[in-house]
Amino acid sequence: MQRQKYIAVLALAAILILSAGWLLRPREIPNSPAPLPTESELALLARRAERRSLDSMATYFAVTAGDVESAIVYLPGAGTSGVVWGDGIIVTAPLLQQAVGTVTVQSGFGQDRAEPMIWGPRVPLAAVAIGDELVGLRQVITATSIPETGSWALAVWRAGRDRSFAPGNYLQSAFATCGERRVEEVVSSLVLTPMMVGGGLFDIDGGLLAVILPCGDRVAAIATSSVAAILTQADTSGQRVLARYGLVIGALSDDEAAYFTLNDGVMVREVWTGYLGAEAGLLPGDIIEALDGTVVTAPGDVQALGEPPGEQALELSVRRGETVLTIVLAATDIEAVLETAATPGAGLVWDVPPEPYRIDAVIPDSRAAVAGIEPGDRLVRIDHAEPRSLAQVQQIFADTVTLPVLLDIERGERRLAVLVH
Amino acid sequence: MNELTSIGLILLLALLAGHLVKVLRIPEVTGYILAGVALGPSMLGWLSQENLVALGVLSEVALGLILFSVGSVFEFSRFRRLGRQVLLITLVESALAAVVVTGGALWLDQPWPVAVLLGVIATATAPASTLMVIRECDSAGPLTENLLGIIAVNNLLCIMLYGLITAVIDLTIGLEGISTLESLYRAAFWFVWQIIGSAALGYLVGLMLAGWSSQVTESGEILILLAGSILFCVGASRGLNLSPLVASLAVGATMVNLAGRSRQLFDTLSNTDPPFYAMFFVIAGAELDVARIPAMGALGLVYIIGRSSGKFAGAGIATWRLGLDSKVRNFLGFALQAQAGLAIGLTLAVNSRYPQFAPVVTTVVLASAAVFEMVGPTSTRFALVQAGEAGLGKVTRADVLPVEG
Repeated sequence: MQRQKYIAVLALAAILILSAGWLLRPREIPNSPAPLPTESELALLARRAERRSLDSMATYFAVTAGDVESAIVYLPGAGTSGVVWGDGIIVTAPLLQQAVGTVTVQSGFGQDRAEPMIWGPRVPLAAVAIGDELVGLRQVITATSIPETGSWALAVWRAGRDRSFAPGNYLQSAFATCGERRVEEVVSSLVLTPMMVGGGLFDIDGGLLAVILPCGDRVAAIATSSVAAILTQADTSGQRVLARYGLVIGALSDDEAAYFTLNDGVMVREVWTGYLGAEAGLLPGDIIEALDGTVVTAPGDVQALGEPPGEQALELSVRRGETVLTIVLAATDIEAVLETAATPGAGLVWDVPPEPYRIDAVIPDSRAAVAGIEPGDRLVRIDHAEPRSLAQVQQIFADTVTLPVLLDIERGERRLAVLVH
Repeated sequence: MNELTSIGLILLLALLAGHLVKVLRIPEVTGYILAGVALGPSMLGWLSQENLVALGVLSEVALGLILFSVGSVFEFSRFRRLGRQVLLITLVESALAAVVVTGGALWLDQPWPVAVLLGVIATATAPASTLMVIRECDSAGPLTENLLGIIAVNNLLCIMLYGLITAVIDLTIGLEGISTLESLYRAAFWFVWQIIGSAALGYLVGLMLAGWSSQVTESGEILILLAGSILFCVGASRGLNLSPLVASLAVGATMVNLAGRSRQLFDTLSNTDPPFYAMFFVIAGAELDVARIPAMGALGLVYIIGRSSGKFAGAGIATWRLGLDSKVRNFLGFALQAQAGLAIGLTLAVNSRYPQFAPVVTTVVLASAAVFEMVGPTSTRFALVQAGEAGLGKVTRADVLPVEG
């Protein structure tokens, strides 16, 4: 009986507990599940997700472009971009041939003058040196590995202060001809346009793959390894002389020394049209006897020509045939050159015939061929004198004649000195 | 495939797997679970996620039946005899497992709520697979008795601890849009409701069952009565937001103390419930996400090692302190390793309650449950066989109950 009572009391308690609990239960936290999305909503959601992922990709490219932005400058004079290659050195498109003076370089923060260091007709690029004035610049970081085919690549360049970029896909690296050089080119899906020239092609991590440069009449992305090689090769004294004055200067060979009856000497081998050397009146076959009063016997003695141009003009003492001339090479200023160009060696302004004798063919292994004359060359002078008639030319080259002759040959934009014997 | 085909396939393959693993001296339960793993979405995928959701009801009923059986350990006469030591052992082994796992997780720089939640979940020992192994081994003796008591108390303790811990977490981090006072009330209410409320419901259902059973004699009718009571209990718990686990335990406990013919009732049940259990374990196996095991990482390893060592050490220390038989002392730790249902259930609760901690807790608990549930039953069987208790019982589970008088 007692037990029954306990059981009943417990049952009552249980009922009370359950009722009280049910009444006192805390309110539901409003957490109504969203209604199931419809088909069209799902499709829209998928599209938005894709859109978002595209947006975030575009954002990523913009961020990467922003990261490398400080390594890209703009050269307002040339209208091209430039890549901050190394310590104060900017690699850009080739400068105009005569632009020997300083150039303006613009970064995102300001602008400064820069001295051209490396440029020239055979070099598909130019390097200029900037001072410390231009703040906020950062040297590019070269890509550490070759990207996989199909991976993202980003072209970044400047138009004025503003940075522009275009994403594409890396395809491959291949060797191609750029001007007179074999270079490694980075091929991508990007269409490279002249406005991108001087900009960089970066991988997705902001590592520089290539510099965008003109190659003849097309624009190509030249791999960093090739850019580095070109810079090294172009940074020689001879290349600098060619770049600055359009001159190729070399020591006399034994045959040439015999021809000139000299023991040693330095001869102007090539003169490029439109350069300071040509403007000053130098001609191929000229023997440089003295530079600023110092006697010249070996190419090392004219190294001053390859040094960075100073304020002073250089004075050359030149022997041309029997005549000795004084020729002044202007320092940097193109206007100065044009002024002085009228007064080199008095009375030696040549009356060049409208059509110099054109060489149609060269017989292999002939004297001319051995000397390096090529079909298409034009004969300007023979032994420092303009040929008077075809008969005279034919006589000079007759088989019976074995005397060496010094020819002044025009080949494209160049004039060359060639000794035929 | 449709649900009926699934059920058929589950039963047949469970039987086949059970036969196969017997050769390897591995408990049938493990065979069922492995069959489930193979059929489930994480491997062959014959049982899809939808199938599992649909079969979830069967699984719940089976768990109700199992806990109803486990509840029979709360018989007064037995509890008077074993209660103190069972409580002590459970407290020590659970506390040690919780402390070691929490410490390990904190050491791995987990936020404290994650560490503590993992610690609490680590205390749970799977009642279902443990009970099934006891039945399969026909085991009886001091180890078996203690083990049955421990798995019953252990699960209650785990639910209480979870209630306490979530209350503390809620009060500390606060729930969105709820004042401190309300979140305190909410936490306290949940705690009391889950334990006391569920017990009250179980008591009422058990009372009804005990009273009605004296009027019913035919075994078929007894079965209908039992099945009806347990289904009602599980369903009502769901509806009232109570714990079906605690409620089912309470039904079993009430009945074993009040019904004069409780033994006959449990006998009847044990003759008919194997298909449910087979289904329960196959479904449990299919729900195990074995693919997660490699993803659990260092934290998962710490959880597994911490929980195992905590249970071993706790069981060892407590039984040594109580001066129990060396067989119990040496092998109780092995018998406590299984973990599944409650741990997974608590993970689901963590998922909905603390979404910010859910990824870590879910990965660790589900991955380690896959490990424990495959190794645990074998470990339990090993303990029972080594302690020399296997085969000492009679054929039915009712024999693990003390012989009255």
